[in-house]
Amino acid sequence: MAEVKVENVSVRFGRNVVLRDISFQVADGELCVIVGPSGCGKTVLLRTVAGLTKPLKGHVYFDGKLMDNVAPSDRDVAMCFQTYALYPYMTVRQNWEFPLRAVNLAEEQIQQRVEQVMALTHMEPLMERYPRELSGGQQQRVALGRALVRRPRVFLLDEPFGNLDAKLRVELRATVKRLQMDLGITTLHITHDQVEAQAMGDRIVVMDMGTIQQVGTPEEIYEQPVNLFVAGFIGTPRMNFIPCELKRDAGQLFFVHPAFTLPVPPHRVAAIEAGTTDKNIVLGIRPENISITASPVPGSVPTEVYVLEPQSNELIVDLALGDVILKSRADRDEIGFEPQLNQTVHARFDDDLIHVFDRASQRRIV
Amino acid sequence: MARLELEQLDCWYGKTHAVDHIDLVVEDGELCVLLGPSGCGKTSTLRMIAGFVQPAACEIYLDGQPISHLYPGDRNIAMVFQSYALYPHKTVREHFIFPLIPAKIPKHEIEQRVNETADFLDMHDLLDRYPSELSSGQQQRVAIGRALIRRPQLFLLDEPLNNLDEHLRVEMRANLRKMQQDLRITTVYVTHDQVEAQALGDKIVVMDMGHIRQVGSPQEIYLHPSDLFVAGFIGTPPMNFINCRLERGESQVVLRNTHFSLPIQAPLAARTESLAEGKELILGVRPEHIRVKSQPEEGAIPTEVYVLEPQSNELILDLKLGDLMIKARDDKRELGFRPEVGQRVWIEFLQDYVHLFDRETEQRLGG
Repeated sequence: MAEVKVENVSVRFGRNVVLRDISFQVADGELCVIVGPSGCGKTVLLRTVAGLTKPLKGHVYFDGKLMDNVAPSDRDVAMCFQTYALYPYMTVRQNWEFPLRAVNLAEEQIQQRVEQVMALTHMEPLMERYPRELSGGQQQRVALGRALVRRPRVFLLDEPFGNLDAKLRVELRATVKRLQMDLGITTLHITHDQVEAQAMGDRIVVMDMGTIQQVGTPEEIYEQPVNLFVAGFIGTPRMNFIPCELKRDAGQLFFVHPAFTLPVPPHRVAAIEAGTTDKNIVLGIRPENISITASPVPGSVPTEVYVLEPQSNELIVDLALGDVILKSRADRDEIGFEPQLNQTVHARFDDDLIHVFDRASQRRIV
Repeated sequence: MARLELEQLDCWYGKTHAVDHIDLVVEDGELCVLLGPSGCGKTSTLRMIAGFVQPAACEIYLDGQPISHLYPGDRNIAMVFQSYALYPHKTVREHFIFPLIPAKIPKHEIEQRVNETADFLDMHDLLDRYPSELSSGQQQRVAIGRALIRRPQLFLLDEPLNNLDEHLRVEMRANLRKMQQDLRITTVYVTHDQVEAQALGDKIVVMDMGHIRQVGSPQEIYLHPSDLFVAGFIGTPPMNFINCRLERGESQVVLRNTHFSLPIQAPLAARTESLAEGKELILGVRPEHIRVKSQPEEGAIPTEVYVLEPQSNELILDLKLGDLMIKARDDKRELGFRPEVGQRVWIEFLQDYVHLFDRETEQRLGG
């Protein structure tokens, strides 16, 4: 049982407040991913949970027990670093046996655990190799294995895939996710890569500038981002943001922008009007929710093709709309025609998936 | 006309054959991407074009003229590096002016070009700043401006977006492409990022271990990869590769694997006509070309959901088929159901997009 609770944690380095009143919980057996741009404080947060960094204020609890005065080595956490930090003069097997010998575990148990993790990480043929004789991905598995043999209460991973090439990263995600699921160890995983965060996290903590912006499942933070930051951070290509105004005219509500005027979808008017009295808003629409046609359709706006970006089976079409560039994304087969540079195409936003943000507070209204 | 021709370009670093006799043509105004894993020879190729590295006997032609005997500065080529290499003691304006001085361009023209470049890059309000006062993206634009202000015949870029965070990379990519197209400047761009290569290139040159594996448009190399390497390198998640054997039944051709028996129709079947019975093949199918169903269906293969990886509006399903792991990718709404780990699901490969590779030669069976 290892539920992790972080309560009102603040950390300061000199005059810089790097963590500001952070509170969240990780359920037992959950894979919690902490994601944010570099400098957001995610590594400091991990180190605070590990006990390597002392917070200025606030507390860390494991299973309800206060950890403030418990040394890192006594917290029963295992940590995996971006640089792996393998013992270079030990074989894979020795790297794994070492932490268990250090706590005087019985030899039989040591061998049992090493065998188990060896099977889990598929390292059988490589057990007698030295780190320098292994590829990046293999070294990664050794680092993971060394943490896993300890059967820690909590597993802390600091950008574990950072040094690996894209292909290997994609491959290891699924492996590590399933491993964590099978072992049921409460895990905090740090990454700057929002694609990785979505793929792996049971829940995701999105951070920026030392604060938590949102906590939720991948689906929640993608479909219901609480503010402009989360909406713009999760998902690539990024959500399109169009600052505009809400205006009422002849009983209808419109989005008004120098380059276009769009009626607000009727079924969403009530929620929008209930959510804000300020007319200054930001309209948010994800690239995959913009459809383009060669001829006008009801509700579409004319735009000019600015740039084309092929992407496997999809096509990203950058559209110029006044001084705004919007990115649209669709399966090539679904687009149905071949857009040309500078061509006028007609863009339609999916009524149900338009987001509206309050421009001042940056919070999402609908 | 700034057409670039590389003829048997070759170079060694000690005992490593970094670039192995490559021939390449980049047409006037084309954006050609050199794509490959680290060590494939793409940067060495770029550096030979620039003149920083002396190739073994070969020739490079720009606009019909041989240039491999010329110093880098005399080749009318401009280059942007991954690290930008800006002058820390010069302002943005000074960066733009500096390359024009040796060419003895008159003052009023220098001023005009600086204004044009600042316009182009939207940098008017930054002209008096020093590099340390600029963000990465802004620094990148200065490097580009400094290169382009000379109006070179050839524009070389070495992984210029590598140091930028993801969102900025995606944004700068489109701007770079637009810029290159508006200027119609012949460009050679090096990257290891296949997403970037597909987004930018008129033509992509896929390289591996000093060799060119395939040259083609993004669509060509995506839809018709020439071999296993190219097929596995382009596209993410990568193409699934499944070993199988060719079997000729009475009325149909079948691909047999320990876990399934897949009848194939024309035109796929036609590609196997000249092959012997029992021929060892590799079936290649991209995650986005696999249909996943919650119910059994005729011809669909049963698998078990091993892991689920949400991906924006899509879901990547890692499916276990015996000792095989297959990745499928589908729009969540199109999937039509919510899969769960451990659930049995049935998969179907879209035959129009199935590839067959000769297991021995690793070449794709043409079609």
